[in-house]
Amino acid sequence: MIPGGAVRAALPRLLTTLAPYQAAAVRIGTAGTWGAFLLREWPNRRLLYGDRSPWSAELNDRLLADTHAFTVLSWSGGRWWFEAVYLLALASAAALALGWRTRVSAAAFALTVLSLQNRNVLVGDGGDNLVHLMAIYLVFTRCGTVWSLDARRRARRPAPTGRPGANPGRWPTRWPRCCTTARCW
Amino acid sequence: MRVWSKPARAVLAVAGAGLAACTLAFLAALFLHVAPENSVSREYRAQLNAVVYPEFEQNWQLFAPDPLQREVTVSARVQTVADDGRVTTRDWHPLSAQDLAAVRHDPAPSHLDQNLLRRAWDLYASTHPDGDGPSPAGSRGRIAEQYLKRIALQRIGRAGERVLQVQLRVDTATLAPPAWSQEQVDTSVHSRELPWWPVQDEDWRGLE
Repeated sequence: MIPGGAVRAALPRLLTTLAPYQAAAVRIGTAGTWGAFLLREWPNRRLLYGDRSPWSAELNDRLLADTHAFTVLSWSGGRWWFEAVYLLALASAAALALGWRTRVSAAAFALTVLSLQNRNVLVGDGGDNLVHLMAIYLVFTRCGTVWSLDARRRARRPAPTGRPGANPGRWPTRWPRCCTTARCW
Repeated sequence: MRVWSKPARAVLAVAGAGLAACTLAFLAALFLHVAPENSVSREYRAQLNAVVYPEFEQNWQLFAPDPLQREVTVSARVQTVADDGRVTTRDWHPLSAQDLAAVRHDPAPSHLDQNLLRRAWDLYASTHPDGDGPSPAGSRGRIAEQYLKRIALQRIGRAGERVLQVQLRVDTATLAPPAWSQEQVDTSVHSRELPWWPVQDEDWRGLE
């Protein structure tokens, strides 16, 4: 059993963001790349992932029955459902690259990346595989603490007193005082 | 400064330990999947595949890319019937050559030209290792046949008449080694003509 004191002492350090700049670089790189790809394939989108693909929704359903991969595009084969998902994919890639509402846009990003790629895995390559993996990992990563619109908004708004974490940049200076607080308490 | 209560600390500690354990298990599974086959990964093959597939497939080809060493050229032709019953076999349509022409000099080539036909053929070749007979209904081989048929139909189009059947031909040649290499390879072209596949109206669904 871990002693309570050790947990108390380790908490502030564990609750900070590790490697915030690296996480932001991965976020911007992945979302930017996928967003640029979606824009480039805009004229071909229906042939690659949509209703005009030679890899028809029916063929894909037969493959999905085997692999159990996730895609919201199997819910409906209609054109407008596909167009809506593609537009959401573009919007969430832009939002994630800019770090706007990072937590929500990361989830939407992962959802749309999986949906499009699993609609037609047979047009993908190594780059798609990398984006696929990063999209999932970014959901579990605190990647919006720097270089993001979220960070800018937080910096403008004064942090409410007694609530750390609003500005993670301040943690290192606070952490010695936190130890003394914990000991008094 | 936030001060965590005792129950809150307990919840945080348990959640943290749980997350760390899950992360470690996940990383261990990925490691065993990527590492060369060994007795542990053989023992737990089914469980490892359940973790890795379908969403965590490791196929980046980033640090050790494997460039294609064979020239695979896919062509297709159709047989059409006119209103007066006259049957015409059309000329071969160079599908791969069109892709190549589209990719050349394009700084950002489309997945449509780079991957679609290439991977469709890979799927067909891997599901038809012993020749070109029809695969059993519902098998992956049958899916590959229908996919290739639809790709050919979409590229060739109706040509004004009803399409009776479609045929594919694949020419494979190993690329010649560079001048400094001692390697001896046979660079002659091997042709593989697939059987004629009948075309029904539903094969055209969504293509036009």
